[in-house]
Amino acid sequence: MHLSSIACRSLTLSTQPTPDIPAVDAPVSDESRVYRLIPVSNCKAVDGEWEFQSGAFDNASPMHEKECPHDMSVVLSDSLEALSRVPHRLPANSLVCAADPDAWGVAALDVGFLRHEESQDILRTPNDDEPAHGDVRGKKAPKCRRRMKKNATWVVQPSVQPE
Amino acid sequence: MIGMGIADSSSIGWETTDPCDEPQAEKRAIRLRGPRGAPLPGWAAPVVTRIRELDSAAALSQRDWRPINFDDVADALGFLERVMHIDTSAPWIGRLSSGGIELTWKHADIEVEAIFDRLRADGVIIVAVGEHEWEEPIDKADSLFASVVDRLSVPYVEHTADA
Repeated sequence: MHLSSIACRSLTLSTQPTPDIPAVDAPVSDESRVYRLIPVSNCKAVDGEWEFQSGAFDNASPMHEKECPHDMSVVLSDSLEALSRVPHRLPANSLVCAADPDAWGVAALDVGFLRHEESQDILRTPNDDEPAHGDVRGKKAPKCRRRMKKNATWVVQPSVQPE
Repeated sequence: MIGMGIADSSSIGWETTDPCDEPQAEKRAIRLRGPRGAPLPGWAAPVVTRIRELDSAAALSQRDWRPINFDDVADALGFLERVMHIDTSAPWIGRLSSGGIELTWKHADIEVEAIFDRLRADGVIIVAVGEHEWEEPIDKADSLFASVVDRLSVPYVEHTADA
């Protein structure tokens, strides 16, 4: 399962929910954060550092019409904390990054910003591979992606060095 | 997948076959040409190299991210051929989940994002100078880009970086 680009999770919770994490229908507070896995292909190298670009905050483009085209795959901070996990370990622990975890970083966005300034819904969409999985649902026009880029911060940059 | 190569000393071309169309795979080609047979400008080779990189198998590893859309590439290259001067700095190029591509330039207080995204009809150019920002549909992007192109030239960028 590819974490960075999972579309609307219609197949949520095929296993029993982990009791410690918030229920699927529990609200996500404005104070929570979402973590977005970002590959270096969505980053520009600037002065030896990786700088994510607007396309890093793009919705998935599912092939099937039944799937929602307005979801951006993320990991929810409150669920992650409940599982006693830390965001900077996400590249090493996520299947999507398994081929080359050094080429992935993690950026954070505030739920309050997404909800109130960008009119996005934050959904809990756990799946077999990531029980803390969520989706940021809503249309993301280029200007919206650009604002997300400006508001996001690195939790951990990709560890591979820019050339 | 897009196959690319240096066609001759004054052009770089590539062609693509769409596996979905087989066995009637239609080869399509785009060529970047230097003005009136002149050598290609400095930005041409990095642009082609980057698009080739984004079209590689590794870059396609994100689920629900579509392969690069040939028409978006053609649109982007047509834009570059029209608006770039011979000494304009090469853009950073990124992929969108739709198969579209984004071109970005950033120097000092100038930022440009040009989005080519036919699938979502989201083509747009955003030019920011300091706190001011302008946006135009991508089919009307040329004049907006022209307003900042001189400040994105390699000599200008190098001169102001040294100042």
